[in-house]
Parts: sequence; structure tokens; C-alpha cells
Amino acid sequence: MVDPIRTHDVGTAAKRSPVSGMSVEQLVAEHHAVLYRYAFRLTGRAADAEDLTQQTFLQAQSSLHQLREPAAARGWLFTILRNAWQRSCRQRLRLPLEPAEVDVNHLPHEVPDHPLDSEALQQALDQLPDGYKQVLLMYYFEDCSYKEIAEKTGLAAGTVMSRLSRAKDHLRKRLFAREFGLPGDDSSSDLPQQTGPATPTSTARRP
Amino acid sequence: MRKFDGNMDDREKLLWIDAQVAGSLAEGPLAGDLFADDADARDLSERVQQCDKAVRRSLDDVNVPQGLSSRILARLASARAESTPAMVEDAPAILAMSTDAASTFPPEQTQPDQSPQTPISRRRWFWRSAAAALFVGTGGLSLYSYLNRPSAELGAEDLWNHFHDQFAQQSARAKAGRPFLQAPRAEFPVCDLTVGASVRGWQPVNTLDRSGVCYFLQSGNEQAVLWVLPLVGNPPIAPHLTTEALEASQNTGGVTVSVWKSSDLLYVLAGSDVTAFAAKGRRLT
Repeated sequence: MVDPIRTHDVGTAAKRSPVSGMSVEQLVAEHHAVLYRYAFRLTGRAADAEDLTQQTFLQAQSSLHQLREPAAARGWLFTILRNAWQRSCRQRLRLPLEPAEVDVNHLPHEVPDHPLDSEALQQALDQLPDGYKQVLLMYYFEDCSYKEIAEKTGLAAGTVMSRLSRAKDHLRKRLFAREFGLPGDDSSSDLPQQTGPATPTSTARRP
Repeated sequence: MRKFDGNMDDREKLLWIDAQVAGSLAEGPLAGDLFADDADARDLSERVQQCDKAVRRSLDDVNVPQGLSSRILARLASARAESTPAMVEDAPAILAMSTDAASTFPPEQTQPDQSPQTPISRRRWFWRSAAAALFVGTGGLSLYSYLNRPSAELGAEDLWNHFHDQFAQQSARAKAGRPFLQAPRAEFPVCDLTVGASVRGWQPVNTLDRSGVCYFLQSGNEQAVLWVLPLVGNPPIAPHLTTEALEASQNTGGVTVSVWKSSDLLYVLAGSDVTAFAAKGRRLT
């Protein structure tokens, strides 16, 4: 084995944040799985999710000095990931947003104990415009309140509430209305569709 | 934006309820008696929370590919190597270290970086290629003039910043249990400021285009790293560097870096508490 001590002192070791004391290897070990899941739900494709996850850690490695608190690492990584995803979305064409009414009838009175269909969930997510998907996943993955989402995205609080409610309503209609025969399962979205990479055949289980 | 109101219709209430963080109704206008007195809102909230719980559980139902963390670590090591040209010489060490790091993840198989090209990565490589072409086309002249320009002197602040980063790397190596060399180097003596500290070992280093040594010191529970390098070299060191250790210190992020000179040698002491290693104001011999 090569003795690294006898080699040049040029920084072959991974960087460690001088403030938080965390190395990028620690970040990978602790957060790569949740970041991949988040990336998969954002992109809908396994290959894109892996690439996005790798980009996130590359950015984290070069900005490791910005990480002050180990406890803030996950939120910091989520922010890097979201920003990278947004940059990748800018080339995608989107239709103008149109309002959709939220319908309380899409809310089931009982939710089954068995897991929801993960592929159906991804299909429903893929039907959402990027701005809605981002708000929705910040709510579910990052446990952000609408106020926190507004602060992080720069959107008005009312816009966040509207997008969040409409996006959740869209999921409920797709996931629960079908299961319980509730009104609204017309297999088409009230929300505006977007052009871009075709993802409706993506599967959550495909590595 | 309208405030929450018990007289809202169900759809408007749902807008507010959907915005609450799951499992917590303590935020905003739904707090307190207002919500407690509204049976409709309470029923809606319970149903929304059931749905949220199911969706959240399903969102996590994604299989993480085998070997993902290993591929990430390999790509990170590759990026580090690219950003440090001199490290090309140390490719075996890089591979050894990245393999060491990857081996800390036993549940996954170590695989080479064979992630497929995706639209995201293709776009990135396109722009990287374009940037590289631009650099080659216009950078030649700049590089020529840069290489023929006298090097800027390194002042105390440059040295603090440089060795602050070096300290983090050396500490990581020390914690990783890398073996030290024990035989002292007469041409790079440990100065008498470190009287009371024991030398745990040393290693040769090449940094700032200089070849020197790096001593690992211990005093009680405190540890520090002392670099001893030739003062003469390129880039040049500012001639007004002090000969007093603790008068030339900077504390950043809990790490103090002290830089001073003695005759033809540059001394750099870094640690969380360098006072344990150096008597204030004491001159070098």
C-alpha cells in the first residue's frame, strides 16, 4: 500500500469543514440515501437522480467551508440539490399556469394502512409543474412550513399556500380518488401540463 | 392574504390546513381556540394528516441503487484530483484513500464510476467543453504573461489561510492513524518555542513549492502541527514577517495559526491552542 505520508502534501485527503469539522465522506455516508430519494422524486428518473445527487455532493465538497453546524447539514444539502435541479429545469418549456380549484371531495375519510402505489405517486408528481413539485417536496421531504418555503424560494406566502394546496389536492385526486372511487379521478390533471423529458413511464423501483 | 376564519367555506379552510406542517397545528392562524372550536376544520385536518402521512411514507419508497455512495466518493476523489494538478503524481495514494473511504460502507458494493450520461450531465459537459476551448484559445497569452510576471510575495494573511486549510488535512491524516516517521531532520529543527511539547512524529511535505517537514506535536491533551520550510523560494515570503510566534497569530474557526521566521526557515504552528506549545514573546534560538 502506498504510504500517503511520503507523498506530496497537496491535499489528497478529503476536505473537512474547519468550522463544523465534518468531512464530505461523512456527509455522503449520512445523507446520500435521502438525497437520492429526494432527487428521484424531483426528476422521476433513476439516472437523473443519481447525477443530481453526485452534483450535490460535488458542490458540497467545494463549499464545505460554508457548513457551520453539523445539524444543519441535511438542510444545506437539500438546498444545494434543489438549486441544481432548478438549474436543470430552466431549459424545459412550460405552459402558463392556470388555476385549479381545490376539492374537499378528494379527501378520503379513511386512508389504507398499506403503502400507496409508488409508481402512481411518481406519475402524479411528474404531472405537476416544476414550481408546484418543488413546493410540495419541500413540504414533505424538508418538513418546511409554508412560511419557510416562502422564505427559501422567494415566493409570496399566498402563492406557496395556493401551490401547496393545489399540488396536494392533485395527489389526493390521483392516489385516493382512484382507490375509493371518489369523484375527480378523470385521469387528467387540472394543473397545467408541461413539456420536456417524458417521464410517465418512470418507475420508483427501477435502480 | 385572507386570515383564517371559521366562516370560511371548506375549500378555503383546506387551503390553510394543507399549508400546516404535518402533525403540528401550532403555527399561524390555526393555533389555539379558533381551531379547537371548529369541528369542520378539525375533521378536515385529521383527514389531511392521514393523507400526508401516507404520501410521505410512499415518497420514501425509493430503492437506492447499489454502490451509489462508492460512486459518489470516487467522483469526489476525481474532482479533488482535477482541482489539484500536483496530485496527479499521487494517483496511487488517491486511489488508496478513496478505496479506504469506500470501504467504510460495507452494505454496498464498490463499483467504478459508470453512471450513464444523462441530459443533465451532457449539458454540463457541453458547457465544460466550451469553457475549456475558450480557455485554451484565450488563456495562452494570459498564461505567458502570468508566468513571466514576478511572483507576488506571500504575506502573513496568505500564509494563515494556506496553513489553516493544510491543518485540516493534516489533522484528518493524523486521526486516520497514518504512521509517522520518527527520525528527526537536523536541517529542519524544532524551535525552542515548542519546549514542553513532545514530537510524536514527522513527515516530509511539499507545499508552497518548498520541500520541508511537518511535525506533529503533543502537549498534554493538546495537539498541534508545526511546519518547517525553507524561507527562500518562489513564491517569496514577505521579508517583514515577524520572528515572534504569538504576535503573528490568527484564530479562525477555533484553529490558531501562527507564522514566524528564523534565519532561513519559515515556521508555522497550527492548533486549537498554540499557547500550550509556545511561550509568549519568547524568541527563537
